[in-house]
Amino acid sequence: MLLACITNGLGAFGLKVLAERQLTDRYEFQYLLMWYLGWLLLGAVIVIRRPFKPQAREILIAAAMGLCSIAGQFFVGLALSRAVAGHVAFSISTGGTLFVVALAGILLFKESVGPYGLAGLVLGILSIVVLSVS
Amino acid sequence: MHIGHLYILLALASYSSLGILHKVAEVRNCRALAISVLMCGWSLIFLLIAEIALGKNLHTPVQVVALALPFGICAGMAILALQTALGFGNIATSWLAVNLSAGIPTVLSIVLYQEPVNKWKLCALIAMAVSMILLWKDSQSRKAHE
Repeated sequence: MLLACITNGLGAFGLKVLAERQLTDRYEFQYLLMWYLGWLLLGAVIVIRRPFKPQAREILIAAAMGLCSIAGQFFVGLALSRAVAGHVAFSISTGGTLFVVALAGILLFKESVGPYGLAGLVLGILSIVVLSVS
Repeated sequence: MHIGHLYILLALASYSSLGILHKVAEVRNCRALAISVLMCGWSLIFLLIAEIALGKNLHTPVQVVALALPFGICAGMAILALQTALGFGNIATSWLAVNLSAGIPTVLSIVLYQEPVNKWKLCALIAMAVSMILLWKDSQSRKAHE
């Protein structure tokens, strides 16, 4: 999980570097395309070493995940372009998502979360909302 | 309802579905590598369709390519690690742990680009670190119970 957290954070930092170099306006789409290509490159290297045959359910679930990922970015972008303040857009889309997914984990998948986990969830969601607003 | 708020709700629904689908993939015994590679492939296809539909120019300067590739590799590692970790932990806490990574670009922006730090940002970063410790304690106590 720690590896997922660190690499996910680093993956997102590229957009900040792009913005600092004043390239976001002209090349954000192209950047995203190359960003996904980098991801695919990593996958290709691993697949060459450990080949696999994709199963139908993996193809379908991954397609839905890809669609949700792109749709999420697209709708946040649309909301920002329709005069929704950034702190509102990001705090609802991130904090709200965390809440919905945590609720789904507990109610749909019957996951048990102990007192430490519950405290971590509440504090984590709050911290992300505060970071989006500040 | 303001149209912008409707878009935010759609974004919320999209990202929430993404988190839930990660768990569905784990429950349905999908392999982490297959999910990571296929998800990336599909995302690329959807993005290309969007770029063509919106009439975007696909010409990409070398400096943008050189910047995007390593960060994309990091993102690929993140999805692979998350999908693998879901076999050992909850989606409720794992999804939060991945989202707490928002603290990393914030810290890097402060250190590398001297972004101003206000007290709220500082409180949020400290709370993120405490939250990660609590999630780790939760996984330890669950392991002890098992």
